[in-house]
Amino acid sequence: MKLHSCQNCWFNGLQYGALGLAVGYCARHKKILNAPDGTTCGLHLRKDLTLIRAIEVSEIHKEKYPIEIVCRINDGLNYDSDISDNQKDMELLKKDSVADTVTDYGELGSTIESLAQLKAMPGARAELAMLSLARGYANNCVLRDGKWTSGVHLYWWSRLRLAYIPKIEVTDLRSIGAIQLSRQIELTLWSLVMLRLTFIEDIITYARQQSDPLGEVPSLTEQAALSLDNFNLRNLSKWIKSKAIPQLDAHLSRSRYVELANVLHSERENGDAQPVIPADLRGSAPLRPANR
Amino acid sequence: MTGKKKWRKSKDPLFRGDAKDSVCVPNPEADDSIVRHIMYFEGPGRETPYLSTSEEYELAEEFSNGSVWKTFVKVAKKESVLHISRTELLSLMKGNGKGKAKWPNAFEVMQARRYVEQWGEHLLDFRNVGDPSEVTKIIFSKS
Repeated sequence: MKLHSCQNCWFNGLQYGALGLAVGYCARHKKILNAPDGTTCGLHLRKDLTLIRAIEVSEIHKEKYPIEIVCRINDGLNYDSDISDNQKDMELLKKDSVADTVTDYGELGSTIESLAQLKAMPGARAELAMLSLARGYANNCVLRDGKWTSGVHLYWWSRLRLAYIPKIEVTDLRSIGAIQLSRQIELTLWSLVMLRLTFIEDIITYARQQSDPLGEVPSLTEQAALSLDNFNLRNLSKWIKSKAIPQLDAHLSRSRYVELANVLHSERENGDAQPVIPADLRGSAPLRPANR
Repeated sequence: MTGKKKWRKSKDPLFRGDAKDSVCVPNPEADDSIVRHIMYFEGPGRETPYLSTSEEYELAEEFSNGSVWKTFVKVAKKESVLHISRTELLSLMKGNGKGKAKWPNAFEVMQARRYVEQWGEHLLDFRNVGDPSEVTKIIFSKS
């Protein structure tokens, strides 16, 4: 599965690696993705990377691909057969409850309502859709009004289920890869729990840029990777309970969450807006190798 | 207990999805970080001394731009192409990684490790190859 293809993009809530439906859906282009492992566009942001790295990689990616069309990775060209917004196809896709909500995202009412619907749905695919679109939502909010707290509800929902091991049914998988079915499910679950941590870390990064105490929490994905040397979900869940959650709660307790949510609500009522704060890209490993 | 058949270095091929008429030519002089290679940060056209291959034809096909090619470890070795097996890659990619898999970001090492396992990935290392263009033609055939 090509890592810079639509299956691995924030704006496709229906797929991530082996998890998902046979087709994807792009919330930016508003198209069904018929060939999500072979298409991309200049707006691509990788699900499998932390915020700062995803933005760095997207800067390289957009030099090669147009932002206005979904195109083939191989030749950069747009093929009608790769996408669809045909009414019949949309109706068929909407028979799936997760896809129904994902295809309505940004179309009906507020986007946060769609994310709240996904949060309430059972299953790994609903959570994938929520986390994936939430990354785009939070980033968009920060770019538009500069407030990291725009994602505070999404943060809190993810925090509450952080240590819970989700369930994946065999029908949730698109492929099983080079390994046994049971191992594929384990690795796919791992990637979903890490996507939770990655989203939480996105919010921490925005908070850090705005000097909020939550930003003092060191990278959770990095801590997890250094603490766990195999893909054992029970160990990951134990680590989250014993190490990650106490750090998060020390900086953002339930009472502080309620307080922030109230401030956010009253600011929205009053129409306050904050200036855009550029991402701080310092501190990550260099992407492009030095000339040799 | 039955399951997926174990890949055998001495007998089984390694598959690579690539262009219809040729296999991408690696650059022996390019940066040799294994994690950078697997994570594909720089996308198509990036310079790398490695070629990724898979134990599974179907997985190689997912990366194909037209053809699936195959080679064997012993054929590659004859042309000074080193084989870094899936097992070796997995053992190198823990924490911040070891050897050529050493990388400052442990999360990215972990993601790369997951991909190696899911894709049944093996690397062919061209760092000691003088004429990579010729060698890719010699060692790969269409599958």
